[in-house]
Amino acid sequence: MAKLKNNISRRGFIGAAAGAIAAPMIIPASARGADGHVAPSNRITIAQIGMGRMARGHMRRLMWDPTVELLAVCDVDRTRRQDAKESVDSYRKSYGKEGDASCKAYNGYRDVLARDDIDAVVIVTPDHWHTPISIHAAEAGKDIYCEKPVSLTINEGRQLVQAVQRHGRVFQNGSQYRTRSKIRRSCDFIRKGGLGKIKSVFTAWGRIGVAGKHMQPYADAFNAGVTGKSMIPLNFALPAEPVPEGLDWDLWLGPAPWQPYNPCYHVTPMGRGVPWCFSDDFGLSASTLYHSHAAEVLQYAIGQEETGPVEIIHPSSGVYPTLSFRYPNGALLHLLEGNLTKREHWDVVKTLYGAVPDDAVMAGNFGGLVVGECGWLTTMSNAPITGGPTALMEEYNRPEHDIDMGGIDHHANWLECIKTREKPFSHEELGHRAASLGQLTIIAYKLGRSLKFDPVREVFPEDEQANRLLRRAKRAPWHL
Amino acid sequence: MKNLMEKLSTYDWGGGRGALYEMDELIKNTQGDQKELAEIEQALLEVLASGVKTAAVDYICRQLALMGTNRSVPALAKLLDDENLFDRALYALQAIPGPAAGKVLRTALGQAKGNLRVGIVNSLGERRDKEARSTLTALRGDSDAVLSKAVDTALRKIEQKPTWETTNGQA
Repeated sequence: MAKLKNNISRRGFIGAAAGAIAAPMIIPASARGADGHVAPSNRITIAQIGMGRMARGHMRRLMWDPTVELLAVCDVDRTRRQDAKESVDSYRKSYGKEGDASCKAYNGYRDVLARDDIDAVVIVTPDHWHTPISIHAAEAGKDIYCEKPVSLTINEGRQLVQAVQRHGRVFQNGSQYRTRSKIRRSCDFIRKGGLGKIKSVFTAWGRIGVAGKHMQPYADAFNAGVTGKSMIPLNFALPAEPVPEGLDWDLWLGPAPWQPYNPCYHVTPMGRGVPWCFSDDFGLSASTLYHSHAAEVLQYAIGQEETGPVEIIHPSSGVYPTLSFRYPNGALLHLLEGNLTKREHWDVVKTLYGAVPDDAVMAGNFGGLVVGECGWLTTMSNAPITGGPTALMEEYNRPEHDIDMGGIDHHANWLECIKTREKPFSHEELGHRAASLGQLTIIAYKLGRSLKFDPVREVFPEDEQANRLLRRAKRAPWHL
Repeated sequence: MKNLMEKLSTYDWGGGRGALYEMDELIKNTQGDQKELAEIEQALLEVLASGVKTAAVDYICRQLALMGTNRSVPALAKLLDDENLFDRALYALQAIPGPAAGKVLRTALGQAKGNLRVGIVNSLGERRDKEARSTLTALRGDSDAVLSKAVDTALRKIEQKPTWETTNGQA
């Protein structure tokens, strides 16, 4: 595999930081790299862009990593970025990552990318910013970890892949389930032919959520009784509310069409997922919430992770009861309605498709169920892996199929690849192809019909209307 | 459809999305039938011409991006003159296939300033408009750094071979 460009320079970090913080009288051994510590000058310097609902997990992971220096946090919301900066600085005071510089907070990501002492960025923004920031980061020579889905449209995703490869950057899609031992074992068993020829695959896709308690003040605009039927994100004209002090709303919108501020886009309700993904301008609804995880896991399991379906079969065709995809290798992927975290919801695989025996037990999320000519197997998180028949599971449970990822999690894989310049587990093409499956789903639902797709050229052959949905205009001056 | 268009004509920020969802369904249910789509396009253009609020213009332009034809191009071209609406017009014009939209964009580029000029350059690049090459080349190195970057990007897209060609079809 070709090595990617490495522009990490050892910058004499302590010396550079001395202008920003008081230089210690004595440099402790840990700061010099003794006692198993990694010297600051040998750490990977990172900035995290986006400090909303999903940000804390990334930040904690990076702060605690002895090989990482979290030099900057960035968010268009002053409160969020200040809170994040204080968390990082407080951690340093409490746990003494000696030699660290102070973490700096930024409003605009361009200022972060302009710093030549930052090696890599973690992008945890709303979806509409994923591709633009990734491309600009690649152009600035930064390696990238980007939350999923990596793009809003298929063409955006392709441009992202091209930019990452053109600039030789290391890119990891934030599809962390791929790196878990349990999921790798299940996927690898399927990839190696443990189920025989793949017949069908099942995962979930649900309707948009527009009836939350926090949305009630705007119930008239949402019309949840009508729009709640939608399987795809919609554009709403939510009423204008005062922009909170310290929020740069114009930059929050960035390349998306302008609209007035409304808290339903920005304020995360307690215990709920990201707030904006019901909106066509900012997210991909079910793809944002769980499907893009499932897409990457399942496409990897069936060996189709660097291509895409050749046919999208809409239920109105009467061929299958739910939206389905046919892959170049003949495998079928069927979408079942809903976030299938409850075991009984998976029973539709039996009632609608008769694809598994009546006594099959399936549960979980962020993956799905794969059925082959020799049996069936789940590959999901939040529940045990199950499968059948008994003989197949006896084989599956043999120790030679064990996969122990050890201490390697998704971030660690990315950090290691930054040093080795190898491709991470969920590199740019896989992230793009996982996002594409969600985008194809949305296009088929939007047009209400079946589609043919060419996964090599990434066009709908002789389908001018569908091809219009491969890309969309950005609000000037933003462009890819 | 008349009832739906009346609701659209009063649509504004805070307006109920339910009625427009019915319009989404109406367009979807045409299943690409050109005659039915032409009737809807004509009705949308009439609402647009009646001077509706930004939220309604926004919705109309999104629909025209999906099913608009050369018939929509003159009305969209007029929106390019409005600094609050040109982004909406570009949303549709970028997506409408055929030479009319490209010609309007190239013509408008000559008079455009600021973000409109950048937006038109972006759209010509996304359309892979080869006829815009000479105009764009003349803008290379413009003192407006944002414009200059946009021009370079647009020209690269216009000249770029698709990935599937450069990789011999190995996706």
